[in-house]
Parts: sequence; C-alpha cells; structure tokens
Amino acid sequence: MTETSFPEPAAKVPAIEQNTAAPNDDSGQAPVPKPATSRFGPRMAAPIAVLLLSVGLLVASVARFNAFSAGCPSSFTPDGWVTGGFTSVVGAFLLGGLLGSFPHKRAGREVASLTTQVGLTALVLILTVAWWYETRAVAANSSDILPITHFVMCIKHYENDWTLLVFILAGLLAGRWLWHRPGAYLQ
Amino acid sequence: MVVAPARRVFAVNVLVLVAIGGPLLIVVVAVFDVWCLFQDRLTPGQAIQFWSRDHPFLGAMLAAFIGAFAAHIFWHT
Repeated sequence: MTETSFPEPAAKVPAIEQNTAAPNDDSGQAPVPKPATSRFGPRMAAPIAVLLLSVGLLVASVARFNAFSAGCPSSFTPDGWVTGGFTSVVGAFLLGGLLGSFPHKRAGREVASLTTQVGLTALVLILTVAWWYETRAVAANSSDILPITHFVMCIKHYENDWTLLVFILAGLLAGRWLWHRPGAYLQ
Repeated sequence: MVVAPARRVFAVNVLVLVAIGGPLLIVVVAVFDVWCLFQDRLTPGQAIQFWSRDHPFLGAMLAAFIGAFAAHIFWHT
C-alpha cells in the first residue's frame, strides 16, 4: 500500500517577518526586539495612507460642518435603479476582501479572541440601540424625532463626494476584516 | 434678538456630531491599527479576520447589515 505524502504545512506558509526570536528557540537567550526604525516597512504603507486620508477627512468635516446652519430637506427621493455611490461602496467592500487574503501572523490568539468577542458584542449592542431609535423615529414620522439615517442623508445631500469617500474607506476596512477568502494562510 | 428654537439647535448639533463622528471613528481605528503594527501586536482588523473565519455566518450577517446601511444611504439621487 502506497502512502500518500503531503507537503509539510510549514513549507506552504509564506515567510513572515518576525519581530522577535522564535518562541521555540532553545538557546536560552531572551528574545531580542528589533530597533524601532526597522518596524517601518512596506506593510506600514497602507495603514499610514489610510491614517493620513482619514485625518484629512476629519479636518474637512470639522471645517465644513462646524458652523453648519442650513436646514435639511424634508424628504429624500429614492432612486429607481442602482446608484453609482452604492456600487462604489460595494466595490470597495469586495476590494477590501481581496486585500484581506494577505498572510499575517497569529499571536496571542486566546486573549485576542476574547477581546474580539467582547468588542463585537458591544458593537452589536450599540447597533441594537441605534436600530431601536431608528425604528421609533421612522414609525413616529414626525419632525420631533428624526432618524439617524436622516442626518446621514442630509450630510450626503450637502457633501455627496466626501460622504462617498468616507463610506468607501469604511467599506474597504469592513471588507478586509469580514470577508476572509478561503485559501489564505493564517498563522 | 432672534433665538433659534431648541429643537432646531438639537437637530443641528446631532447633524454636526454625525458628520464629524464618522471620519473620527475611522481616524481612531487607523491610529490604533498603526500603533498595533508598530508594537508588533495583533491589529483589530486581524483579530476580526480570525473571528470572521471562525464564525462565517455571523460575519456574513454583519457584512449584510453594512451593505443594507450603505444601500439605504446611497440609493437616492
């Protein structure tokens, strides 16, 4: 009977830059951390670009809406066909999913998964409260209590391109975080 | 002196809060992401990737919620 040989899993995993010595290093020496300057590399380019872009967005939004005094339209007419804005956001989500397949290392998994579970539970709790308020405001159909999405659509009414940019950034992040394609290596 | 009604002042304040809050949230996430990378720690995105891989159905539901929200906002002229 012929045994089927499988390639070693470690051989399939791309080399990952380590910041310290390997955990199973039995040389008896403490791990030597890399100098701070060597931590900057190509992997930092995209997060720093997102950071700079988001800071620019924040400054622009403060400058634009800090002294905002105009009123919002009383109603927003839905479009009869798929809009370019919606397509762009969905496209950003899919692009984020493609970026999410890059290999990365797994470190401190147990603590991270507990923190992730707690964080996501808190997020869902906030979404539930926001959804309750939204439903109550839509059902009331009164100017006394306005839905949160009414304000977002009002902002979009005045700053359509900037709002689209914020949603594209958020879509990229969400796609990268949530859509993990099969076949990507996790370590 | 003409004074704006309190209800209108509240609505404008909420509008400013929403307008600045979205970019501010992304800035906070981006700063934390860069800090985690610099400290060689697991970033929030990587942690959620692991969670999403382990819980694909819940991840899909969260993604669908985000898609529905984007459709609700951008399905207007």
